[in-house]
Parts: sequence; C-alpha cells; structure tokens
Amino acid sequence: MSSLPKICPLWLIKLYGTALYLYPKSFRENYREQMLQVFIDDYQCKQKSNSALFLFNTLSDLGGSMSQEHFSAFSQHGRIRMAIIGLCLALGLLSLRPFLTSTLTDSFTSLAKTDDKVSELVLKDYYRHSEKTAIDLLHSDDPMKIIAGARFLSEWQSESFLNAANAEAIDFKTPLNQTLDKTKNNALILIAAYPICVKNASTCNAGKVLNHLRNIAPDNGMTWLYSASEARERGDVETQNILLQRANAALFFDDANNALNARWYRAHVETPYKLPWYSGFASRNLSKLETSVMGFDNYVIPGCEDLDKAAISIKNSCLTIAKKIALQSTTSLTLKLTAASMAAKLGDTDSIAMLELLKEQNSGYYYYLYATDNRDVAALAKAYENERQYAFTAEMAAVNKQEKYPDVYAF
Amino acid sequence: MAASSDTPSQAQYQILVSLLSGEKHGYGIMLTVENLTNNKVKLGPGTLYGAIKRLIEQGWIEESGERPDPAMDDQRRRYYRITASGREVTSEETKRLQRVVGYATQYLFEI
Repeated sequence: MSSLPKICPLWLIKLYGTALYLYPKSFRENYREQMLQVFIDDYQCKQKSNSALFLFNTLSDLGGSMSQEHFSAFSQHGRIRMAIIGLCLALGLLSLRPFLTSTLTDSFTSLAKTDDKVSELVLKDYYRHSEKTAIDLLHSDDPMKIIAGARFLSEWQSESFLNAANAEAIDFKTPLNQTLDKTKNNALILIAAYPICVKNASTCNAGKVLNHLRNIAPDNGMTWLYSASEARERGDVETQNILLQRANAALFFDDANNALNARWYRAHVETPYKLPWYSGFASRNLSKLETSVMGFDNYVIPGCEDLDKAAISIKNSCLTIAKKIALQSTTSLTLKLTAASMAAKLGDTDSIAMLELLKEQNSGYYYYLYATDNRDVAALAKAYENERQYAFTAEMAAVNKQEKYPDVYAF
Repeated sequence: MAASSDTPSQAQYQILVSLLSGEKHGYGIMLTVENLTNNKVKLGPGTLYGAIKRLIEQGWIEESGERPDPAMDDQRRRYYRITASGREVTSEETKRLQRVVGYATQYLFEI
C-alpha cells in the first residue's frame, strides 16, 4: 500500500479554480487563493476517500456558500446579478445534502440555534414529559394520584390520555375481578370523574369502551350513576339509559372515590394547595353525585312513544337505586342523605323516616353541607352545635401532607 | 432561520472553538473541526472561508500578522487567531449550548 500523498489532478485544480470565479469579486479577491489551497490539501489528505463523494461534497459546499456570499453581497451593495444568483440557487440545491445526511446531534444543534425553535422544542418536550408523569400517576395504586393524573391529562385533552383511557377501559376488568380493589379500578375512576374525556375516547373507540363498560362484574353502582349523569349532561341519552339500567342492577354502591375527593377538598379549604385548580373539585363531584341520583325526573327516551310510561319506569329505577344507596352500610353519610332525600321526594314514605334518622346520625361537615344545600336553618344550627364539625382538622392534616404525595405536589 | 448577528452560527462557533488552542491556517481549522466532531462535521472551503469572512467582520477573529518560516510552510497560507471578543462570545455560546445539552440530557437519559 502506498503512503505517498494522492496528487490532485491539474484539471481538477483548474476546474475548481475556475468555479471560484463564480463567487462575488470582493470575496474572491480575498479568499480564492486560500480556498484553492485548502481544496488541494483536502484532496491530497483524503487519499483513501471516494473521489466521487469528495467532488460531490465540494460541489455542495461550493453551491451553498456561493449563494450565501451573493446574497450577502446583494444585501450590502444592492447589485442584482440575476444570472449568477440563478446559477447559485441551482447549485444551492445540492446543499440540501447535508440535511439529508446530518446526524441527530447536528439536527439538534442546528435546531437549538434559534430561540424560536428551541422554545418549540422545549415546550413540546415539557408536555411530553409531563404527560408521561401524569400517566404514571394514572397507573398508581393510590387513588389520589390516579385522580391527579387523570385531572392533568383531562385538562390537556391529550391524545395520550385518550389512548390511556381506552387502554384502561380494556384492561380494568381483570384487576377488578381479581382484587375488588377500587383503587386499581382506574378506568372506573376516569369514567366517573372525567367523562368528557371518555366521551372523546369513545369518539376514538366507542364500541370498545361501551362494551367493556357493559361487561364489568361485579360493579359499583356509583360508577354507573356518575357515568349516566355525565351521559345525560352531554346529551347521550342512549348511553345514559344503558348506564342507568346497569346502576339499577348493581348490588353495591361505593362512593369511596367521591369521599376521597371530598376529603381532599376540605383540606384545600383549610390550607390551600399549591394546585389552585383543585379548588372546588370535590364540591363539583358532590354536585354531580346529587345530579346523578336526583336528576332523572325529566327523562326522555328517543323512539319511545309512551314517554310518561318511560319516565315512570325511570323514576322507579331511581327510587330503587336511591333506597339501595340509603341502606348501604359502606356508603358515605353524605351520599346516604342525598339518596334518602331523593327517595323521599319521589314519594317513598319509608325514606322520609330514613332521612330523619340519617339527619340524627350525621353531624359535622357532612351535616353542614346537607343543611346549607337544603337551606335547612334548623339543621344548620344543629351542625354548628355539634363539635364533630371541627373533627376534620386532623383528617385534613393527614391528607395535606406534602411528603405523602410529593409527585403530585411537584406539578 | 439565521442566527442573530451577535450569536455565532454553527460553523462560526466551531471555527472559534478550533482557534482556542492557538492560531491556525484554513486547512488546520478544517482538520481541527473534523477531529472535534469525530468527522461528523466537515467544513468545505466555501463554508470555511465564508464563515471566516464574517468572523473577521464581527471582530471575533483576526488574521495573524506573523507568518511562519517560509521554509516550513507555504507563504500563501494565512493564519487566523481568536480575539478577546471572540473568546467572550465563544464562552457565552458554550454556556448556552451547555444549557441545551443539559436539558436534552435530563430528558433523554432520565437523569
């Protein structure tokens, strides 16, 4: 193998030297000789490289830099050299080559050169990273974290969230059947708390989501009520009816998720969170809960000729549901009160007695909520008299510990 | 989008970096840049001297008045060295890129 330098052919030197005359005069006068020397040095040093590739690279460089120098000269002197610029533009097309072969690092460095591009990159990456964090929260075993994750994702209305909601809807039957652990029932929580996203998810894959919803067993009647209420809000009457029938058939009603929200909300009221949008979150869910149980009196079923009959049927279903909830031992007092109140309004005399009993049993904040919501002055006075109203402070402190949910607070 | 006039372009930055270790002629700069970037970035003569021209106009580099011994090197070669303002702008740009790289590293490698 020869170690002698590869001599640059004279014809190539002449060709390149001639091509350099295409540069603007001022540039050429200053740098032509040096450029030619560099060209020769480069050719002779790269003796192992492919000559065709070398020429192609040189032409690309020539075209790109020449057009840049002409534009520079044009902007400085205002002289239009259309023929040369046209030629330079044609040669400049060759300069696209570096973009086609540039490495990721080159692209990133190039991208980072301009503030606008960097901002776009940073913003995109921020959201991608935040989404990932929120989805991680969604798959946590802690319902508080799940709710937080769902909350962030729902606010962003992200595609990732919709996909996650669909995926959860497909998978959630298994952990529910295996463990009956509501905290793992992420999809139910999502569906219950963020139906607008499920609505969008349904747009993506309506059949799958609904089919899985219909096949859950055992189920939580509260989830069906939440979902039915939300379906009603968005005007999806068909889904509403399906979900309500499901609620009517449910054996148990557990509003643990709502209770968690309420606890969180109370903590927020006393000691504001760093996350201001959590304000009123639980109270909104409480309102939805009430709507779920009590809001089916103006019912319409499309295609049903006998609307009165249908309405009566639905009211009876709601009454059955309300009585089940009021008697459910695991249900929160708030929900029992709401349910008993609804059943009483629907004309169930047993529930009137139940309501009074619940009023006696309840005290503190729940009772206070009931009293204010119903403008029951006597009940309100009772609530204030009851010391248990202030028993939430300790509970609040337990919930409000930042160290308990650092990743939630980190947002 | 072009870089602003007070910020060196990618090629300009690489030339400035290559001159930090001392004055060099054009081909010396080209080789240094190739070495620095593991042969990923190759400045052709046109790009190289276009960037050099603008660096001189900005006052970030200057042509060295000292010529090597004619017996040791070609008289046609011109040597360039970085100026104080060039060193300053290189420092600023390096810090900026460090922030970008740090950001990318944080998320690419989950540090």
